[in-house]
Amino acid sequence: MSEQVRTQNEELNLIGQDYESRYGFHDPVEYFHKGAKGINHEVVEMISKMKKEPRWMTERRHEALDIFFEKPMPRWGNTKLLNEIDFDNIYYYMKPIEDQKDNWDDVPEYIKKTFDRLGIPEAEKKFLGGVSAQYESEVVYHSLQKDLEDMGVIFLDMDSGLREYEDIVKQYFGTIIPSNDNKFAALNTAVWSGGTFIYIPPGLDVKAPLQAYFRINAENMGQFERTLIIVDKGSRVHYIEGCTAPVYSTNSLHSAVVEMIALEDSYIRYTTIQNWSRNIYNLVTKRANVYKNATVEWVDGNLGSRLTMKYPCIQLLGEGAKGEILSVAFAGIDQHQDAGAKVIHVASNTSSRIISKSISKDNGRASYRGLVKVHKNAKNCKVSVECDALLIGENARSDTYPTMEIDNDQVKIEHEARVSKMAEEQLFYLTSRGLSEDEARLLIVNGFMEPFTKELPMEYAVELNRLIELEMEGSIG
Amino acid sequence: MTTEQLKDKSEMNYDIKELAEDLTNGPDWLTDKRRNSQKTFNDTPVPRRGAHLWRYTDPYQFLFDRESMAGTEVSANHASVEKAAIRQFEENNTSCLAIDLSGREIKISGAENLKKDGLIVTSLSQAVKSHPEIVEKYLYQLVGHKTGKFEAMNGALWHDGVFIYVPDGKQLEKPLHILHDAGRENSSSFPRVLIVVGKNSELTVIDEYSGGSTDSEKGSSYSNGVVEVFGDNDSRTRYVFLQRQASAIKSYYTYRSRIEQGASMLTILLSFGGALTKQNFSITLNGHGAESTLYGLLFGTDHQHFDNHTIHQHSSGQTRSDIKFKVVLRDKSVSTYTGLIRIENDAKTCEAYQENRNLLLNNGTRAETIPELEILNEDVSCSHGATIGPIDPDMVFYLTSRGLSKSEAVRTIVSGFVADILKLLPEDLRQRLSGFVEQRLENI
Amino acid sequence: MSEFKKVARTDDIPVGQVRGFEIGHDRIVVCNTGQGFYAMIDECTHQSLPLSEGRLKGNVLTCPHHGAKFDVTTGAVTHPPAIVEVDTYEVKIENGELFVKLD
Repeated sequence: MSEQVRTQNEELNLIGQDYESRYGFHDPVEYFHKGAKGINHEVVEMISKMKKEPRWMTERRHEALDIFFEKPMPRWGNTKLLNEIDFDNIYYYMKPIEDQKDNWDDVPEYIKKTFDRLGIPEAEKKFLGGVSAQYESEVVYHSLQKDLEDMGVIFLDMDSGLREYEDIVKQYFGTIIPSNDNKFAALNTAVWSGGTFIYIPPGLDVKAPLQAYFRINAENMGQFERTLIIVDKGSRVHYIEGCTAPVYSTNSLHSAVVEMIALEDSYIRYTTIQNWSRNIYNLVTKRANVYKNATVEWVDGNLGSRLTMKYPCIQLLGEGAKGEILSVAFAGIDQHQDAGAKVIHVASNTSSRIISKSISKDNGRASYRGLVKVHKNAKNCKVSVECDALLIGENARSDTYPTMEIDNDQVKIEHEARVSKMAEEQLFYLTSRGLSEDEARLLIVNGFMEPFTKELPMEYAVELNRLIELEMEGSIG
Repeated sequence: MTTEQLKDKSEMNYDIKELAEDLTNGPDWLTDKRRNSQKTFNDTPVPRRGAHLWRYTDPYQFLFDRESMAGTEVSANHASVEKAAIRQFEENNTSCLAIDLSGREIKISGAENLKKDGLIVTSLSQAVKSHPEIVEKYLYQLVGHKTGKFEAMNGALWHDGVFIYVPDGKQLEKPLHILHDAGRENSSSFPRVLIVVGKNSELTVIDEYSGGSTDSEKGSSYSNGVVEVFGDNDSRTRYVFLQRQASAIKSYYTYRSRIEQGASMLTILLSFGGALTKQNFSITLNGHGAESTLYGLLFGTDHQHFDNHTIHQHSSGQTRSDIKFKVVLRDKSVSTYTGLIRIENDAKTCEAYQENRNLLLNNGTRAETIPELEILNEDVSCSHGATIGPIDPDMVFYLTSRGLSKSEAVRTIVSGFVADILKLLPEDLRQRLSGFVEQRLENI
Repeated sequence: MSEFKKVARTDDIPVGQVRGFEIGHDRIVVCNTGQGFYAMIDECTHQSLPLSEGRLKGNVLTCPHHGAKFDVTTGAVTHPPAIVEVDTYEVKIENGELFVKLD
């Protein structure tokens, strides 16, 4: 047995010991006012105490922290950037609201400029710039809430979800992404705060998309969000998080976990558009369990951050289940979008589709990392994977690392990937019809992204198009 | 049936303690290379199971106690295989035949004839004495002591090998045939081949690997081979790797080729034998206008496990590469394929394509495919595709409704699947391979 | 035709421990729970890594790589990230020797 495994086994033996007696705790609020950075069991105990969590959640957090300490950093991916993360130099909790000051001057120029160009209203600017604690649209938020409540839909932030629906949370939390899954899932389980809790009771078609945008406030600004979505039999919902406008955060490490369960005959579409400011490391684990005849769609847009590592995953557990992952990534100056998709076919007669589109510009790097796995008892599965990468500029980089593991012969698996620069002929065609070269390039990029943008609600699509325009002009970053 | 405790395997010490005298009595530069390889092998930890390129194959399978694998008999079928090879040579289908008996003896026929044109076909041990400058210039340059643990094993322990040198401006019309025998059960061999093709020259080599243990109950056998091929400016090289070893041998092969400006390389990888085979094929396009094509075909039966890794490395601009890798599997055989296309930042206007198609003839087989791309500049045209699936039932129906039996239909379809690879081979080799495919379709 | 193959002596595997074996083409892990001996394929269904490096507690074997847990008596998953059960093999003990029936 390897040394690493032996040590791991020994350390696993220590988990479950009595934390209070081991660490000795003081008053939480006072502790946080001291402004301590870094992560340890005291911080975890404080976070749990401040939220007044049930004992089982506190223990989960402690156990997860031990796993986090003991797991090594990933040996794959952009190890250079990953190893720049200084875990001891990060705040792992939210600062109390009273501490928020108006630091508009601290918000980077490029962010302020983008707000102006995108036409973001004043109030939103302050919120997205991290200088305002509340999103000032309380009225809108409250009226939405009432409609949903009347339908029986539960749509809360995760902290409230745990408090008000402890049984449901306890039943599902960590059952799809356990702490041991990877180092960052362990970190998230230890220090999570905020995120979304959704439960849709059976037989409900929730027509209007649920948007996180209207629910979040600065406290839950996505640093270590934990999201749990359960859609019961026959129900349908579309959840949207993030926004195309850049979001500034002084916390440089964002590590979220999203678990979704689509019970029989249900449908869930989860749309994300991530545009974190360029100082952020965004490492996300997202996975959905899909049951009989249910469908899950991940629509994933990656525009911001310095490094994003995110591979939405679908596990098709019941016959007739379907999965679709539509991913778009734009890697500009100094950015690395390391995105992808994972589909695992456990049940027979399941199908999945992955479409990944990426654009790398200047010295940006876009990577696609994917997994298609068909277990040996999964018959008659159909999978198609299509990866397209567009490179703009002589230092742009594109990587494709798809893996297919097929253990059943009754399958139809197709995978295709293409990497190219803008076709000279296309550019020539457009410029010869009166467009400037910039306009022509923009049109080509928009055409390239069209399969993705057409899946977004209108206001997002419009904003996204405007944002791409800015990226292409080179006025950002 | 042999039973081995896995714990024992991973706790054993596999270090190369001493280099035998006959390995160190050559020139100093060669002894240094061997010693460096020995050090690398001893100091490099065994790759972690699950690490890239070792996701589906256990690295401990290629490590063994050399003292108990020291058998010196040729394999049971060697006589007949050798006879067939000699007949090909005598019928003038091949221009030269080199027979390598586990590195203990290298017998060459037909080299004298080629000498008048300046071509050299000889054993490496001989070449080290007769052409030291050439050998020292090229040997270990592509697969050196730093390449990896298993490559270093060969680098330290290869006994003797084959050296082929084609001077500038010479075209060898008929293929050259190398036949390696891996011995019987409880034996190990470390084949080594060095091929240098001069400017504007042409060469076809058929590098055949045969033999090995036929019965794991009696004992295993191991083979760890290295092939280095250099194609100078405007050369045209065709290299056929034919692995048709016995059913209980475990092999690890590393093939690296580098071609210069305007050169072309056609590599054909044919893999049919062995219990477990890990094959790494890498071609570097190192000059403008270089072109490389790699065709692969493997047919797994029974419990065979194939692990193939290919790399097309574009270090220069205006280069073109193409890979077509086809896999047919039946019974409980397993194939893992990782194929990388890498285009460097200053390699502009390159084209690179890759296709991996897997045909599964029954349930119980397992195919893994990881086609990878690393593209570091925009001026490229690059694509890859992979498919995995059974024979199209519509195709079977079409043929059976026209009077063929089901198994005839399957035969026809599989023959069609492999046809484009087989048609690239010289006639006699194509027939032999069709025979291998036929054999493997028995009782389908 | 599958028959029982001798794998080890029962004292090769102490109580509460597991051992991996390579038998011809098959790799299996044998567990001694104290209540009995159980055999499974030595491959976690999560990422195909060896289970024989894992830890046994009662009837549950934990895969050391990502913490997936399996009930060794049935092969069923008791903890993610594995989602598919592991194949088990029938075990027979005779005169202190352990036999496993492989397919």
